Amino acid sequence: MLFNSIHYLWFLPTVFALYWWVLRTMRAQNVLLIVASYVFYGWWDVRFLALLFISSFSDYWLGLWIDSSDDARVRKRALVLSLVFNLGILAYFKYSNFFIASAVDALHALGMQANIGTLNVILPVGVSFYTFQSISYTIEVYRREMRPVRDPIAYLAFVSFFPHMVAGPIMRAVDLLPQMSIPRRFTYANGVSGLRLIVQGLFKKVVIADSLAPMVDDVFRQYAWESGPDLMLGAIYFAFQIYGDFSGYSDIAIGSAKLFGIELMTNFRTPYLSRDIGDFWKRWHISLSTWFRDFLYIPLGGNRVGKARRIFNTLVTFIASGFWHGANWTFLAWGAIHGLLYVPYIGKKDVPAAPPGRLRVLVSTLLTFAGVTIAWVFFRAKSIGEAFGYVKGIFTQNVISVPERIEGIPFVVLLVLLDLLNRNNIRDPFGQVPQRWLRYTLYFILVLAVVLFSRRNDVQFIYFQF
Amino acid sequence: MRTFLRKTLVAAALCALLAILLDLGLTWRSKGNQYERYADLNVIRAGKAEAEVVVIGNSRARYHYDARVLSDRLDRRCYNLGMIGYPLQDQLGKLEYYLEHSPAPDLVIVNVDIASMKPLARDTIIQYEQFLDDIRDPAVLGIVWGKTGFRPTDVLPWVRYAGFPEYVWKIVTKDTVTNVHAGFAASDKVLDPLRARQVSIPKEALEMLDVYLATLRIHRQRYWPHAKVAFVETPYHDSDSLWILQAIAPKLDARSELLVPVDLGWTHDPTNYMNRTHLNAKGAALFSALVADSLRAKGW
Repeated sequence: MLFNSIHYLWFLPTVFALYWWVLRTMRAQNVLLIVASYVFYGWWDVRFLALLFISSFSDYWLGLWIDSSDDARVRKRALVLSLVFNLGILAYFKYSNFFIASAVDALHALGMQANIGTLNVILPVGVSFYTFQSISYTIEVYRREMRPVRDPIAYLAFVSFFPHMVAGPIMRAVDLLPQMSIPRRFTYANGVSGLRLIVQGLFKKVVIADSLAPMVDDVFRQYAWESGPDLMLGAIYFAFQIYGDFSGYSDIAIGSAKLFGIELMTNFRTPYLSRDIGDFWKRWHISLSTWFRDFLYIPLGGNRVGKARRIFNTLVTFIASGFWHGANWTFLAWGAIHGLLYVPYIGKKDVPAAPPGRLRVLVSTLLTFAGVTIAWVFFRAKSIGEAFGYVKGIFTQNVISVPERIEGIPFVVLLVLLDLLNRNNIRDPFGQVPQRWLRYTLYFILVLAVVLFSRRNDVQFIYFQF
Repeated sequence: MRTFLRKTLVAAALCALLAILLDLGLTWRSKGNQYERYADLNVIRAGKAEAEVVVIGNSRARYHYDARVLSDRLDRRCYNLGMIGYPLQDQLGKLEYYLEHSPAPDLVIVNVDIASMKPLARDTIIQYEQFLDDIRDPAVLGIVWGKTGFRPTDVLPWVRYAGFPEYVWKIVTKDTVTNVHAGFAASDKVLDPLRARQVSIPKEALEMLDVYLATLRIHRQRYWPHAKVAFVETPYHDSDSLWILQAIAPKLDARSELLVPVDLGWTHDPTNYMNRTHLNAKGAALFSALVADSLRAKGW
């Protein structure tokens, strides 16, 4: 089920009503959340419910096993089992065809022929998200950062909780599981900010991202014939499309969770207002970047090693992050570009010695955005060759010309304005607008715009493919 | 919880009220819209489309017949009911709508065209926005109901325009005709005439001819029994024969139907076309004059 579908419009209030008025005990509410989440997920394809259940339950059981033993070898064995199982699911469903195709290409390059066919595999929606979440649980139990949960209902609710199961935020067990194990309370403030987030998220997705999508598709499809300025606009449009799409999803997820008295972590914090690439990664897809930081970068040595090793660790982490997005060289390139952009900042302090001037802030913000946008071209392109062709075209194809594809600019401006308006109030958009009439006017404009811009066929979120 | 629900419901009600007001504003604005096909239903409903000769057909009827030229040459009032992208059943639906608001015409010119004959009914709605202003009208609802693209919620105020923000913008700015034409002329998703002739004619279209004629005749008997039918074959660029008319000839009901052959010698001239399958204004004037002359030769 999609957040931007008509089905969610009745699904959410129905679950909300049952949750607060019919099933008042914590355990019953958890059961409801599991059932609702499985319905939500099964709406897409019931065949993969079993995979979700097996993945969840195995980690629940492995968590107990890890905790039950003081023998380091046993604990490690259980952890490895969890990693192999979860990463095995990912490897099979997400990467098997990529590895096969790459192996065939490599053999071909060596002058050998290999008749290996690709597998007929469907990628289960959200598999990258819920497996990473499950992995975080067993690792945290292994590290003794948390006790394993004894209640399987609470654990299943934690993994499958429908607002975030399909595309995050990737919640850490230590943050979300305790919320599944205590009675929740509805508060007016939570309810209001939840609805505000949902409306804002729908606006970002339906009005902004989905309107930019066809323009982006056009430019990338025929990039060889587009002028440099139009290619530049196309790349900028994609930067805002993916931001609107993904942060919109996160807003709806966080807002929906709030309605059930559950807090999900902030996933985006006005990332395009970042002053450098390090700043960007503290604001973009925060749940994933912190996951990689805690479970890959730090175990590799983190900041406690020499500079050369830190550079290596940084590149590995970014490339792994790129690879997480999809089985394509373009995603690896995207991660590598971010890693390379990050390298100059390694060893620098986060806070500058003197407060920077406005002009300097503006220039560094624009430069960061430019770097991020160029990297997005690799993310969006179908192949590395296409990405290079696109970037080259920006600087070589009819560079001195008036851009024609200006119809997306209003949507970009809208998203920037929305970010500026809410930059200090990420988790409660419009909450800082003091006048009630102005707040309500904004709500109505957003809601009516969402209705008007909603497509006849529901448009999937970009991150569903990951 | 109670405060939350109360405020949410009040906000939702206010939002719905605003949607109704906006919808009324758009309805009022679109009533003044006299542009092209979007205006058709308005014009028909206002009784201003009353005519003795009407043309039905798809986009090639819409673009190929200049009602003013036909009116002048035939000395009768003519109205063009052509619908962009629509098969016969929907063309007849629009004729029905016309008949609900105007007396039956004396003559119905049926623009026979390969594209209209292949699927008599289509399960998707093409250029849905042309129906939005009148979606709650039972006759219009009859055309779109049950087809892919139509949602029952489309009868709700404001919701009916969901997915068509550009159209709302066009209503607000009264920009309908320019952009629709520009978009249509730029589209290459029209039937390739070469393919139509070479592939579809022998296999599919002629097999459909009996169904096509039967559908038309049943409709005529039921809704416009006193009007005559004139079959005119639509010209494509480089048309070389009136093959559909030739196929109809042996099946013709001479009491109520007539064939209107038109000289095709001019169809190779690209200056008459806005694309390979649609005439421009110059071509439409020429073609309409030829149709009118042919009709006059048959006693009209």
